[in-house]
Parts: sequence; structure tokens; C-alpha cells
Amino acid sequence: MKNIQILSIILFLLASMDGRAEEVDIQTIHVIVSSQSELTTLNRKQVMGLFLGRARSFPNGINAKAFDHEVGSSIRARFFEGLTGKSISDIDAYWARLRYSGRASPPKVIETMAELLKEVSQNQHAIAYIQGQDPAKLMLQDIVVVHTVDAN
Amino acid sequence: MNVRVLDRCFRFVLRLFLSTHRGLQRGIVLGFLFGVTQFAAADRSLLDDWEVTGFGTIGYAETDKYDDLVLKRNITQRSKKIEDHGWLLDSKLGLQVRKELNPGWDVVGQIVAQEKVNNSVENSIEMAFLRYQPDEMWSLQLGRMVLDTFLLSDHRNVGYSYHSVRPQTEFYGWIPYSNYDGLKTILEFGDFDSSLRFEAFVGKTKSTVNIGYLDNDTSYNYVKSSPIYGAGVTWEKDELTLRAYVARFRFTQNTNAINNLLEIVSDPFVQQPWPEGLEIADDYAIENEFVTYSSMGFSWTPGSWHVQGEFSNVTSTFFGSYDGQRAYFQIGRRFGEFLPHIAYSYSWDERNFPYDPPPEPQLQALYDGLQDNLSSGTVDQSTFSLGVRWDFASQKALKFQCDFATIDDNSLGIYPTQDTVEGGARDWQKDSRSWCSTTFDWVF
Repeated sequence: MKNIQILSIILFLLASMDGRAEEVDIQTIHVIVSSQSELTTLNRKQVMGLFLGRARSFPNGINAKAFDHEVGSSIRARFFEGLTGKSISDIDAYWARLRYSGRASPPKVIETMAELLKEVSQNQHAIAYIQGQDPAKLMLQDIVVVHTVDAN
Repeated sequence: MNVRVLDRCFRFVLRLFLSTHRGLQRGIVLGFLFGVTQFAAADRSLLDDWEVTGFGTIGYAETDKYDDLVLKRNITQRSKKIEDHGWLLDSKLGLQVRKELNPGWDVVGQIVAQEKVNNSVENSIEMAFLRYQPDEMWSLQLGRMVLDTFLLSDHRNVGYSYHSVRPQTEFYGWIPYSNYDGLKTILEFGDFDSSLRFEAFVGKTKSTVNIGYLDNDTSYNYVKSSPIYGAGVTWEKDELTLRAYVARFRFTQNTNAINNLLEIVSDPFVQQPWPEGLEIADDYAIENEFVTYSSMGFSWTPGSWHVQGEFSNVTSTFFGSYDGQRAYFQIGRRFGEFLPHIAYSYSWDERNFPYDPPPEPQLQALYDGLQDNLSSGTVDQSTFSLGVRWDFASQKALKFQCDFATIDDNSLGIYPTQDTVEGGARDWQKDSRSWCSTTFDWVF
């Protein structure tokens, strides 16, 4: 009986994963934070402020540290273009102005998705963005989706 | 507020912190020691987590297109070198390091290799400062920092960061200084909607400039200013940035050219028949004299558009300095990877030489020479620029630009003429010139 229950749960999970995978829109990019940050939502201006170095803390006062994907990656270009409405070249030029005048450094790059998720789940200051992930599953890793960028 | 009262306040602050070279070094060393102590407390390795980045430009311009005028980016470049090697005009390579020592503490260093009169390693260090940010609002920086009097000043070496081939020459080409050693404090208010940033600095700076075409001692001039101080305010909201800044510099010593001039007019053979000659040379002297730069600028980037403009006023307490007003306006629009742009820049300087000629005809050549000195500090010209930037790959851009310049009578403050007659005036008459340039800019 117990084996049947376990098998049923596994089958249910597999089925629900398949179903979710079909529902997840890979053009949608989720902005994520740790559940420890106690944030539930951020608006576009707030996300822009945090990823463009104009704001150093979340609206609730907790210090924020943004993490980025590799320069030249497709997700990075689609995220910034979707968020700001500007070309990724303009964003790179903007960061060159800030970095090489000594004013600020761009968000730190984390190379793999696993490292990124680990950083966000464990760090209440972290904010990052990902694509193709189910928000409900992220919740299981103590990660909250606070904003969604349509990167079409 | 009375300018002299303002001067006294700043000079008092400077005496407290930076009045002597030794005092500055002490301050920097103490700052670094405190920072390192903070760092040590954090129990992290000194060698870990350094951000090492850089930028570069490889360019070519038609600097030798005309026999009578040399295209220059700024007055710190050697005229003859630039004329003979068009690729030196805009080419440069920069390396930057940054390390967060501890939350709130970081150090930044930057070195830039580029064409200029003094290419020593020490003179190539654009930034080497320690920063302390105790909270969200305050920031305190100590060490060598880039001057940010104007909108593009603090990143003018980074071609990738702006879309023209070079910052507008009328506005930026005459500025002798790019960095300073001193103290800077920043106070920033803001929310996610807008931000207001106040900053003030005090310190000292130096540079060697090549005003004129020759490469001798009187053409290469060492200029040093202490104190220098300034304050500015920047307001940012969405795609709009507004900025106002004022800075004041005191020159500590005369240049070689002025010392040479003073020596000539002090000669009894000149002094006796024409005592006014010495008065004229004294009016040119820069030692203990002041120059004040004030500017207002804006940048607006709605959607694909890039619009930027600046206006500045330069006033000085001595004759023969750069003077007058400058302004530029540029507009561009991005179409995918391409960003075509146009710009118009202007520098007004309508000063005339107000001194009477000497009574002795044999001193006419000297009079002409004194008159010619004013031309070296005059920028009375305008340029219309047309260009395109092509971002063909991530963090890499190719640029092409043509400039159409009209240089007014005796406006030889940036573009020198090689027709220098020793002891006589160069007598440049208003004329137009055009140059085309191309660059490959990247960051890494």
C-alpha cells in the first residue's frame, strides 16, 4: 500500500512537471529574490533602479545586491531590452560610463543557473533574473518571483 | 556669496586637509591604513575578488590633411606627433582595478596609455582612490580621482561610453586637467522615482600641455593648480539628467612661455623705451591667478533617442587665459545596431588685444609676439559633426564621423598652425576645415 502511495506521488509530480513545462513561457523573464527578503512584488521602476545601479536597497530598506548573466548572453540582452526599452548596447555604454568614471560597478555575473539560484535562495540581499522557471517550484527553494519582464 | 569669501572658506578647508603635498600624502596613507584595517577585520584575502576590467580605442583621423592646421583632440597632445601619426589622435588603452575591501569600503585604480606630452606612469594614473560609503546617502573619496566638471569629463577616455568619435572639441579640447589628487564627498537623496546628488571636491592637479605647434620648452608648458575646488548637483528622473557644476582653480606658477616672455620684456633694452611691455606680460602671468568654470548640462534618452547638451562659462582673473562661453547640442537615434548622430558645438571668445603698439618700430615684432600669445588662449570656433556608431558585437563598436569646423580669426587655442613665425603673430584668418575620423571602441 505504501509503495502504491509513493508511486502515485511520483507519477503525480512527473505529470504536473510535464504540464507546467508546457505552460512556462520561455519569453517571460522572472525577477527573483530570496524569501528572506520579505518582498512580494517590485514594480518596473524599482527593478530598473536596482539593476541600473541607481538604488542600493529594496523598498523595505534591506540592502540589495543585483546579480547578472554573462555579458553577450541572450537572456541578458532580452532582460534589459524588455525592462528598459533600450538596446543592450546602450545599456553596456551606460555601465561603461559608471564603471570607468569610478562611480559604480555593474551587477556581479554568475555563470551557471544552479549557482544563481543557490545565491538567491541563501542571500536575502540578492536579486537576479531567470527564464523558463515555474514560480511555484522556485517557492520550494525559498525564491520569490517579484516581477515579470515580457522579453518578446 | 562674495567670491573672495568663498575662496577663503575653501582655502581654509584645504589648509586643514590638503594644504601641503606632505599633508595630502599623509591623508591618503592614513585613509588607506584605515581602510586596510577595516579590510583585515573582515578576514578576507587581499588577493581575492579583484575586478580587473578595461577599455580601449584604436582610431585613425586625417590629422595631416591640411598644411596649415593640425586636428587635435585636446591640448595635452603633442601637435607634431599627432600631425605625423593620425592613429594617435583617439587611440588609447585603459586598465581598471577595483576591490571591495569591506562593506562600505572599496578601492579603485585606473591607468590609461594615450598620446600626451607627459607620458610617465605617474601621469597616466587617472584614478587611485579609497572610498568609504557609511550609508545609502554619504560617500567619501580620498586619493586621485577624475575631474567631473562637465557631463563627459569623467569618462571622456572611454570611447565606448559615448556615441561620437570624441567629446566635442570646442567644449572639451581646451581643458588641461583630467584628474586631481584630493578629497571628494557625495551626498545622494532619492527613491526609485528620482535622485538628487550633491558633490564637492578639493585638491590639486597638474598637467603638461602643448599649446602651439612647436615642441620646444616654450611650447610644452607645465601647468599646476592648487587649490582646486568645486561643487555640483545632479538630478536624475527616468530618462532625464540635469547637471550644474562650478569649479575654481588657482595656478601656482607661470608657464615656460610666460617666464620666457617676462624675461624678454624685462630686458633694459625693451624696458626703457617701452615699459608697457612688462605690464602686458604681467597681465599674461598666471601665477596666483584664478580661473572659474561653471556649466549646466542635460541628457535625455527617451526610447531610442539620445539628446544631450551643455553650456559652460569660463572666467579668469588674468589676461590670456581660456575665456568665454562654450556650448554643444547633439542628437542621435538608434536603429538596431546603428546609431546615426549629428552635433553642433560652439566656442565664443571675442576678446581683442587691448594694448597699444610700442613707440619704437623695431619693437613691433615683440608686440606682434605678445599679441600672438592671446591666440594660443583663444577658442572662437564652431563644428558641425555627422557620424554613425555601429555596435556590431557585444561591447564593441565601430564609429565613423566627419567634422566641419569654422575657425575664426586667430582662434589657435586647440588646433595649432605650423606657420609660427618666431617673434611674430601667426595671423590666422577665419576659414573652414573638415576632417573625417574612425575608431574601434571596446570594453573588456
